[in-house]
Amino acid sequence: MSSLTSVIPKLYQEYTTKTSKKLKIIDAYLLYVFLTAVIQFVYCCLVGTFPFNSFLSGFISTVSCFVLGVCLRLQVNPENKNEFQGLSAERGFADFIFAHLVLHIVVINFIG
Amino acid sequence: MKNLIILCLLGYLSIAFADKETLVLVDNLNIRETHSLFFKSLQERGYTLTFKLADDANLVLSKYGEYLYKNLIVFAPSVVEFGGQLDTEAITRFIDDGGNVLMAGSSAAGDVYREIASECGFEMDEESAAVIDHFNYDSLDEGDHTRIVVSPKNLIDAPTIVGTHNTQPLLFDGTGLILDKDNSLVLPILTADSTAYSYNPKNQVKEYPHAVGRKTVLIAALQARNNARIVFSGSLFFFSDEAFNSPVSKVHGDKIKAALSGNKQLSIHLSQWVFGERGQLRVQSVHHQRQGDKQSSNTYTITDTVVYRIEIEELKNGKWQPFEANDVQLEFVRIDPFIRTTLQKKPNGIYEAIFKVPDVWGVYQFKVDYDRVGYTRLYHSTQVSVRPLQHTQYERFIPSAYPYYVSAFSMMIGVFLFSFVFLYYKEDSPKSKAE
Amino acid sequence: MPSAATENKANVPKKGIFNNTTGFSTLITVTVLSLAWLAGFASRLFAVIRFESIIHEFDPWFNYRSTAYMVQHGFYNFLNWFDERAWYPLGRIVGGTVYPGLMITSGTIHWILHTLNIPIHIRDICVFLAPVFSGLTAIATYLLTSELWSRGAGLFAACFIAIIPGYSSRSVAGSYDNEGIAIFALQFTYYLWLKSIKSGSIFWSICTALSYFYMVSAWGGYVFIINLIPLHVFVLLIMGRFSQRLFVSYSVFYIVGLLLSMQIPFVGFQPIRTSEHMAASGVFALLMAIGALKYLHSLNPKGQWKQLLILGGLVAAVTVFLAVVLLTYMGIIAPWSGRFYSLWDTGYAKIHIPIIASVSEHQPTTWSSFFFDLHVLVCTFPVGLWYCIKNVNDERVFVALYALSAVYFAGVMVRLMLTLTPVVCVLAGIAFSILLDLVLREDETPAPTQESDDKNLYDKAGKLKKRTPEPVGETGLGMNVRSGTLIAFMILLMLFSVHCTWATSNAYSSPSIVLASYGNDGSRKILDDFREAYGWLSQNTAEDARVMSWWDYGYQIAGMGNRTTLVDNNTWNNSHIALVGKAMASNETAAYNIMTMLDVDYVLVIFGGAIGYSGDDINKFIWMVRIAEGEHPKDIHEADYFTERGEYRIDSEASKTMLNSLMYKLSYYRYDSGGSPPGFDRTRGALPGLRGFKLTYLEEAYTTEHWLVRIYRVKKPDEFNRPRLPLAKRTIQTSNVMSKKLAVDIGHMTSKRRKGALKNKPILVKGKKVTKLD
Repeated sequence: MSSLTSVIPKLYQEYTTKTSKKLKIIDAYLLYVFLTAVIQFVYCCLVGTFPFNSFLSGFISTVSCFVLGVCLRLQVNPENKNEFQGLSAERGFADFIFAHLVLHIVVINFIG
Repeated sequence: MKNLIILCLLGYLSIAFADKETLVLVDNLNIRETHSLFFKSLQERGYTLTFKLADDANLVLSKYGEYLYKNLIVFAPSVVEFGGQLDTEAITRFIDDGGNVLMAGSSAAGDVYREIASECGFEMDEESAAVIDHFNYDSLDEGDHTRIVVSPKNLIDAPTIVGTHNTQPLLFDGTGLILDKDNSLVLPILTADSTAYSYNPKNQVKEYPHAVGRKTVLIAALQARNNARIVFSGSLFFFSDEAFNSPVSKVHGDKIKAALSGNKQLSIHLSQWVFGERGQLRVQSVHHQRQGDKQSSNTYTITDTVVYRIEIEELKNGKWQPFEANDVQLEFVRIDPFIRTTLQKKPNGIYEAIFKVPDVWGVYQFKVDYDRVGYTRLYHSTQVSVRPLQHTQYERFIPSAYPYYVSAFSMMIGVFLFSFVFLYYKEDSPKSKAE
Repeated sequence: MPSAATENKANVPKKGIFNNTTGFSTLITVTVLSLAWLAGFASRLFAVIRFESIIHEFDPWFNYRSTAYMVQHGFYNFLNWFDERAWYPLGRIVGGTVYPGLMITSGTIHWILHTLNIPIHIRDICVFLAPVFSGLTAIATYLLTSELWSRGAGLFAACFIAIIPGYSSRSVAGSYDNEGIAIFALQFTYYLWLKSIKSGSIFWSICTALSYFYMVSAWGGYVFIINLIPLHVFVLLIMGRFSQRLFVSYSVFYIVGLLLSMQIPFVGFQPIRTSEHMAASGVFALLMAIGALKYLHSLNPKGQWKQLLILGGLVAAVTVFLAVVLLTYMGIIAPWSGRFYSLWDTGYAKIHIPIIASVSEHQPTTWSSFFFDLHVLVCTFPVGLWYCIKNVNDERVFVALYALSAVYFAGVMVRLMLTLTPVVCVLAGIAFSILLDLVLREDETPAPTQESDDKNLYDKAGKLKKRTPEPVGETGLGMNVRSGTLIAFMILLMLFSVHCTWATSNAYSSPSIVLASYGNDGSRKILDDFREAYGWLSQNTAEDARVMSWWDYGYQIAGMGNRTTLVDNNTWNNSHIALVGKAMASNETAAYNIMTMLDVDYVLVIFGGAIGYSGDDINKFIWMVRIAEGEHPKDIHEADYFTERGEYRIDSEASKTMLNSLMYKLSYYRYDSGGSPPGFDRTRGALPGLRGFKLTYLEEAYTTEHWLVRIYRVKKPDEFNRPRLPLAKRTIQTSNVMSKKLAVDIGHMTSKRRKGALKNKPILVKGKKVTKLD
């Protein structure tokens, strides 16, 4: 456990130094999405799942946004160039937007 | 115009007339005289009586598939075999096709009677058996104690059948009937006292009598499921002028005395019931609709509020008039009744119920099943389907769901803003790197 | 044979154009695929040619009916369609209990054609939809296989899937069922999945999710996908093949696919509520955890992360598993459904859910049917599998898992042979391609002579250049060995295509509502009793008449007879079916009570005794009894319907309960008059045990020409007008009932004008003179 606690500030340091600004923007966005998801989940636990479809669509939309954001982050990260051969950052972003289009159309349909 | 009215009138008359066509089968024409009061009362009420001997070779009930008579009176206890085309089967078919039958036997009645009785769900005691009551016999009895006095208290509690003012004791001389207990359609109209039994008065009682005490039914009735009515009396004497006119005085017990027996009144009442002058109900109209709607519809959505109205009429003195009762019930049935409610009485014989359709979809029936002793069975069912909510009918914009809406939309806006920032930064980043 | 012919013809023109250019190889690919499409389409038309353009069997009738409804009333009305004619009196919400993909597909085609002013009846679209989609399946298979191995193998696989009986059994013309389009969706989803896992692109993942959505809308078999893909991911994780591509493709596919699948009303919240779908979310959570740990690891690669990683992964897995178990226990997640259990334990359904076991499609598969449906491919696909495992990569792990699970499921249920077929084609395609590669490798340049006798050369030619490099270490095969192998394989393939055509034509092209029988001279006789009976129903019964039959015929009665049914092939309500089963299994009186409760007007039974049709109701009867017993164990006992020695028979040794059951009576009522030895049951080869009986509560309404369908009318209660006292129940015995009856009868018969008789008649009354004679 002690190693863990000692490791965290180190991690933070690593993060601030190593990560490019662009990725940090994504991370900020991810944090925002993550917080929204958590708030929704807590709200749902308090109020109950009555409009279940609304809860699901709201919650899943945040989760998907998060997942898509992470994917985008992975794809634009220059460190991962080898993993995603033939996928430029622009392509990744276009895919990202396309995915969001599909996602939000479905969410609107489902939210009731 | 006038002609038309006359024609209509004639048509109406002929219909009414057809309703009153009655065939009377007797075993000798004397009965016309001995039972004249009874027949007269019928004729006064507009019945056309056709007297025939029971063994007449030309007896027919129907011709070319049409019944010639609506009603049949059989006052022929000694018949062994009907003449013409008439037999047990023909009579039962007549009943099944809606004809009314009044039969009166005596202790001498033969197996034909027994056959017909069994076809209707009750039995007549053995030949030459008679109802004997050593405690309740009339003073004019000839020694066998078969001319018994029956208190009107033994009558069935059904004013439509027996009328309301039966206070005079009744005279009865004939055989007993036994009812099938499993049978809910058969009605014991008049039962004997607990001291009575049914046996051959000439013989020693050797075996247990078939009918003892109150189980001995003197007059039985059946209203078949098609509302044909049959009254079966063990005694022909019951309808005779003699019984109508004779005074009653009981020898034993409370020694009831009456100047006149109640036979006449009861017989007339019975004949009114059996020939359908009383206790006829019909459904005039049925309406059901969603509350607030004007149009009646055949499909409802779950949890709709439905208004159901039924108009019921009763035949009174030859005219259909609004029926008055407060125990008419409505069921809303899908295999089992989901809702059972008493219909509210409104003016003009209209009964109404307002209820909420259950939250279960399916094919339902509105059922009004009014089955009271003495009345024709009133049954009406309407099939409707109850469907689930359509996709547009679900509740929307539920307050508790607003946070979800907000989050979903914030996600969209978030993506939008993020895209801007991200794209903007893209151009910026090389610079920063260059720096 | 036509398919074989076309296929062979297809190959002929391609000889000699080996120019090794991409253009030609594309041309060849396109030609072969279109020919495969054509061959597949043509071989599925036997039913239409032999019989007519008609919807087959049972389920397709419902699909057709609802498609017609949708085309007529529009999509939204279809979605909200409450069918009060099915499952009387419960009704059925069709929109919410159906996979609408099929109807929407054909409705869309109909709409497009009509917009182009091509007036075509919706029925023809429905009839020909499955054959058309078989072509699309061939293309999807080609894509999948080329993604896996090589284009040559893809062409092989496409040709195989186009004609293989295991697939054409479900997609002949007229068999308008979900499976027809679902196999295409299945293959296509897998193709896109492999594509996305290869590229790691969000775009392909989204496409996978969309294709998965189509699959969900089309068939309940989508559960196979949503379990197989997570399994694939899981196995890759275990094999240490985690990559960010995997992370991207699976997480995007899962989350979008989840959301999309919940858009189908029938599926609803199942994806997060039932255990069948939990594996997917478990793997998703696991993947997220591993991804997070990996990320942390990447931030600080120096630390003691390795143990932490493994530990974290394990903890995550255990947490997910416990959460699922706990939620199941708390009832939030539904436990596995019975159908699912029966996949693991073949005996389960027989004991617990007879309704599932009663369907012949749900029986375990026999070995012979493996061979019948797949023929030579069943022997060659392990070769392909072996090669895939030998040269493993991410995609081949997938196909290996696909093959193994599909083999297992196909062994459990005949019906799931359908999911096995595509993967067998894929792997057999790979195997053949490898083999021919081997044989032809060196011949390519020096031996053009040999190509002339090789009909399937075209694939190799196209493929050879494209082949992914793989170790082909074999050398020095002698010329004779080569040609021998080649010829042997050609013969094998020929036999295969002959077998496929034969099987499709003989075994799978019967519409089953029109039967054909062959006379001694080979002439064909059409028995059209089913349609005769349904036609009678639609013409002669009241519009809202309710027809009770066993559930097999529900869709047909609704589709062709247009009458209300009590139960049908959508067996969603077991207790209602059990009620019908109970009515069929009870004696007449008890059955009558049930039937009046359910407002039944007509009863329809199928009786094959006169023509020897074995799929009739008496043979299915024991399932009715079992299903009824499941719900009404007090009233129905299966053992009562067997003889003391436990035999199921209908002759004079049959048990009393059996002989008195409604089903028995309705089947054999009045049957004495038919057959060659009168009343002989040709299906069961026995003389019925109870004959010449009368029915009290029902009356025969219609019997078709060959006694196949018998319809009875249920008498209404008011037809039992008087409560008659039967002789036996009377306490007072009339002295001479019999003689009297007899006398009456004779009298009745001899003369209509008969004098009656009076007892002790005091006066002689003369009969009237007969004045009129008629």
